[in-house]
Amino acid sequence: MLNCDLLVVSVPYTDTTYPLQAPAIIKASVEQYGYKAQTFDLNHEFIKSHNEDNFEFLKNFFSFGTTDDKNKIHIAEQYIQRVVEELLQKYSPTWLAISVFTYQCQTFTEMLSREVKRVKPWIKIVVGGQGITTQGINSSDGWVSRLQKEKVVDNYIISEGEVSIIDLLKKGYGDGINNTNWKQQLDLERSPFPDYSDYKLEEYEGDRLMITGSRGCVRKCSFCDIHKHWKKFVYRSGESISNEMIKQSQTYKRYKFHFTDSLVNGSMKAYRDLITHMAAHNRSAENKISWGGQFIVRGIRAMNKQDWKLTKESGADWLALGVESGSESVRDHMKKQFSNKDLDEFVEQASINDVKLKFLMIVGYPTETQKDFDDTLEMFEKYKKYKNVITNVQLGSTLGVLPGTPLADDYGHDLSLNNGENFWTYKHNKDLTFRERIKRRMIAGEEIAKMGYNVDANVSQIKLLHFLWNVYKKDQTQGVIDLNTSEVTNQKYS
Amino acid sequence: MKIGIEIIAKNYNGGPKLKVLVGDEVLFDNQITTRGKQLIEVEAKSQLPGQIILCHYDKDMKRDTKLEHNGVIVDDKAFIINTVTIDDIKLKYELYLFDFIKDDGTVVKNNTYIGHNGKFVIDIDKDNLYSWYSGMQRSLVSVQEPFSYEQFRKEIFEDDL
Repeated sequence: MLNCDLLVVSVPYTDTTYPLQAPAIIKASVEQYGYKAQTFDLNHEFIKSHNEDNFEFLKNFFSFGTTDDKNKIHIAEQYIQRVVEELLQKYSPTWLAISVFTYQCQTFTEMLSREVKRVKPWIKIVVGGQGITTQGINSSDGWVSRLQKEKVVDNYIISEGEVSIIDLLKKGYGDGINNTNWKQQLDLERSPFPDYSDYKLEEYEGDRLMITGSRGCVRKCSFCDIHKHWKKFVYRSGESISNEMIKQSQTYKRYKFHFTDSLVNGSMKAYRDLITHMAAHNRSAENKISWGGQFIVRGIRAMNKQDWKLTKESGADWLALGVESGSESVRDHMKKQFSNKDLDEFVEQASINDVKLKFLMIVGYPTETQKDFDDTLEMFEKYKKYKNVITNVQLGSTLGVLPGTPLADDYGHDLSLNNGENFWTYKHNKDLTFRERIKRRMIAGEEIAKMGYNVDANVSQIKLLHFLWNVYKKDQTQGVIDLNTSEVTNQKYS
Repeated sequence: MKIGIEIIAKNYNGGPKLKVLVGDEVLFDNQITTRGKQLIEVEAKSQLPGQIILCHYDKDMKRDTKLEHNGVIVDDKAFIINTVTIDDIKLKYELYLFDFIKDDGTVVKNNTYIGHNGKFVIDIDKDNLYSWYSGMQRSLVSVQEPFSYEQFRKEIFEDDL
């Protein structure tokens, strides 16, 4: 039995093959203050059982908390009882900290907490993570404050937990503890490197570790709500990030990193610093480090040939670009701030330096005309010669007007939501109905695949549209969970 | 919690007696004497999670259904649940997901015609109405509409044909 002050667990359901970062960060944060922490990835344990009979039922039940067969709920209850029994046979914690990554982890969290309190009511439970409030238009701490009221959990932490968890353990109160008045951490370099020592890293696919170099975004794209959550763009120095990558690779023998940042090159100063350090490391390292992450498109004047050379040498494996549309006028309305020429230069440099690209697209933006849509298809036609560089295209499930975005705030008077974020109509582009957007999305998927590109998750996104279409047809209301996804890299809400 | 129940009543022999409850809280208890569509609006103090129960009672199955000599029902003391609105959530097709439990314990599924004495139970098992509703919609659609890309494509493009 392992005694510890804090047992940090991540819970189902998050669709990922990566080791989730949050428990490792919390462990490292509390241990530097002398507390003893253990981590356990219950999400991973669950995913490992994917071949078992009830996996699909449990996945859906844990994700949405609903089933059309109530007689099966006892299967979920038994699963939770078994998990708690095994967990508490192995660990004897004073605190249980549950990392709720998305909304789809809420059901498991609640069931787990109730069972722990039933079996060992003296264990204090704290929950945290984006999933405790990520409910879009219904965003609030309603769910978690109810759990607290019912004494299912003792405390909750809103947003960044590294500092708050220390406040909780030391004082029992602080910003963001049992309240929504959290303060954004402005100095990311204060946090210690994530501690994965309790993880069985060899069990995770892809050999990757996650890393965070910044929080927030330097852009304010019209369809994105990230600036609402992270008021400021804060970032670590390139040296600090490269130190983490090098140290973690030496400790855990993992040489691939996945940036969780909204964009890796938000600050070009920090980015140049990062690639300079990493390029120097890789030149002499036996095991070269590689990385990937989301990236802003910059033309050759902003990101010159030397930057590209160092980008490659630093280990840039793939960059995910929010290209969104082949039409400049659509991108201008989105405030993406790059031209077709910038994109041409970017793709050309990626090709010269053999850095792979993923294009993230939006089909059916409010101002998108038929010509704009054709421009998108033409762009892919034009870039066919770079097919070996543009390895993946994500077309999404048509634009949803999310609450808190400039589109909702600034253009709301011209948009009718029609009972759903995906069902909107725009006064100045009335022909672009939900049906028309689905049509364009289907055409885009078919044509781009015909050109030889790999269109990611095409069927699952069309399935989601099929579901939404049925909701729309029946004049029902689109729920917020329809906007969420359990895929770790594809969360719509920030 | 505001609840609106739209029913279509058949008022043979004075009309059906209907009781609306949330848990143990009785919100409405009356005989629906008027034939046709009507709206019952009530407000519950009870909090979610909970059950909204529409209870049909006091019907004499021998006398309160008018049959033709060939056994066809020509009039009835009964009602059809058309829609149920809970705050700003409206249930229509979803109503077929809930059970009608006859007084003898028989469970009738996929039915909104309330012709027997018994309880129609809308079980809201979450405190967040929106997430409960969303989850239910998802299961409803997945149950009722199997996905086929070709069929979906045909439907979406059919106005071009």
